[in-house]
Amino acid sequence: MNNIREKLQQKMGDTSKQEQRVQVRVKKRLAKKKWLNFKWVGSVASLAACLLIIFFILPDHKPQQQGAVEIGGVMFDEKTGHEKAISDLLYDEVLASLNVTKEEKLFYTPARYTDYTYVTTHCQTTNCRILALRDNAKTGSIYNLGSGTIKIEALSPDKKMVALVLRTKKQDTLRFMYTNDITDHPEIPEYFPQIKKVKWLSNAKIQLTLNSGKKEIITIPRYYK
Amino acid sequence: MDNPHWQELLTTHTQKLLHISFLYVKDWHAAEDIVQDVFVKYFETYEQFRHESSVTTYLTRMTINRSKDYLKSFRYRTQQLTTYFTQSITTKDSLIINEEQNEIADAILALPLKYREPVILYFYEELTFHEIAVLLHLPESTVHYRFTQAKLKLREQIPEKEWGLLNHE
Repeated sequence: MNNIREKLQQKMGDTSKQEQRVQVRVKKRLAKKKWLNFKWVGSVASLAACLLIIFFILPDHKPQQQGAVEIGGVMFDEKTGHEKAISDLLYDEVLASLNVTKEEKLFYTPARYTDYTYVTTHCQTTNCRILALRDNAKTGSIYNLGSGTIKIEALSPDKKMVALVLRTKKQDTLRFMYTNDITDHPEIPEYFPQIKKVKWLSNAKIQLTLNSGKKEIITIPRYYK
Repeated sequence: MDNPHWQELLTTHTQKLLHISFLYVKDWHAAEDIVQDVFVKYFETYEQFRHESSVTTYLTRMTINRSKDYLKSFRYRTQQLTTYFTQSITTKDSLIINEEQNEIADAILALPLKYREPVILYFYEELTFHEIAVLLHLPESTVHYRFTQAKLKLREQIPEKEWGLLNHE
C-alpha cells in the first residue's frame, strides 16, 4: 500500500458501520421494490380476473340467476351459424310442432319486425315446417306458421302487425302476427299464386301484387286495435 | 435478497465504493446515499448489463458519476452554505481535530475536484493514467496534466518533509 493511500485510509478511519448501513438499506430498498412490484402485478391480475368474470362467467350464469332456467336444446342461425338456446319449457313443443326428433338440427332466422324467431329444419322434403318462436326463458309462445319459407315481411302503418308471405312450391299463403304480446293471430285461409309485393293500404287492408301483375286487396280481421 | 451473486457483490464492493464516494463528496451521509443508489440501480438493471466492462469498473464509474452529480446538486450547495455559517462556532473543535489528523490527506481533500480526482484514482485506487483516462472518458494527456497540477498545488500546502510521498509515480 502506498503512503498516500495509507494516509487517506487513516483519514477515513473505520468505515464498517457505514458499510453495514449501506448494505442493510440496499436490501430494504430492494425488498420494498419487490413488494411494490408484487403488489402491482397482483393488482393487474385481480383486475384481469374481475374483467374475465364480468365478460365471460357472469353472462353464462345470468339466466340461471334469473330463475335457474334449463336449456332444452339449441338452434343455429341460418346465415351465421351462431348458436342460440331454446328453453326446456318450449323445446319439446318446438320439436313436436316441427315434427322432428331431438337429433334433428334446428335453424333460426330472427324476425324483422318482432322479437319472434322463425325456426325450421333442413328437412329432406320440399316444404319443411316452420314456426315463430318467442322464448323469454320463463315464458314464451309458439306460432305454427305451417310449411314453407318466409319470403316477405311487411309492417302495418300502426306498426302493430306484420304480414308474412309463406311460400311453398305450389302456392303462397298469408300469415299475420302482432308485434306486441297478443297471440290471437288473424287468419286468412286462402292460397295465392306467387306474391311479388305486399303493401299495407291501411291498418286493416293490404294490397298484394302477384307475379302475374294482378293485384288483390285483402281485408284483415283485426281482433285488437 | 434472493440472488447470492448480489449478496457477494454487496460484501466485496461496498467498502471500496463508499471510500471513493467519500473522497469525492467528503461527506459520509452523502456517500452512503450515493453507494446505496448505485447498488439499487445496478440490481434493478442487472439483466440489461452488457458486460462491456467488468462489474467493478462499471460500479466504480457509476459511483464517480453519481458523486459528481451530488457535487452539482442543490443538496450539496445547501449543505455548503450551512457549513459556512456554522464554521465560526466549531472553529476551535476543528483545529483540535486537524492536529490529530494527517495534513497530507486534508490537503488532498481540499483540492478542487478536477485535481483531486486523478490523485484519488492514482494513489487510492492505484489505477494507471491510462486506466483513469478510460474510466473518466478523458484523454490520457488531460489526466496527466491535472495530476501534475494537483501535485504542484499539494506541494504548496504539504510540509517539505512529506513531499517524498508525492513522488510515488
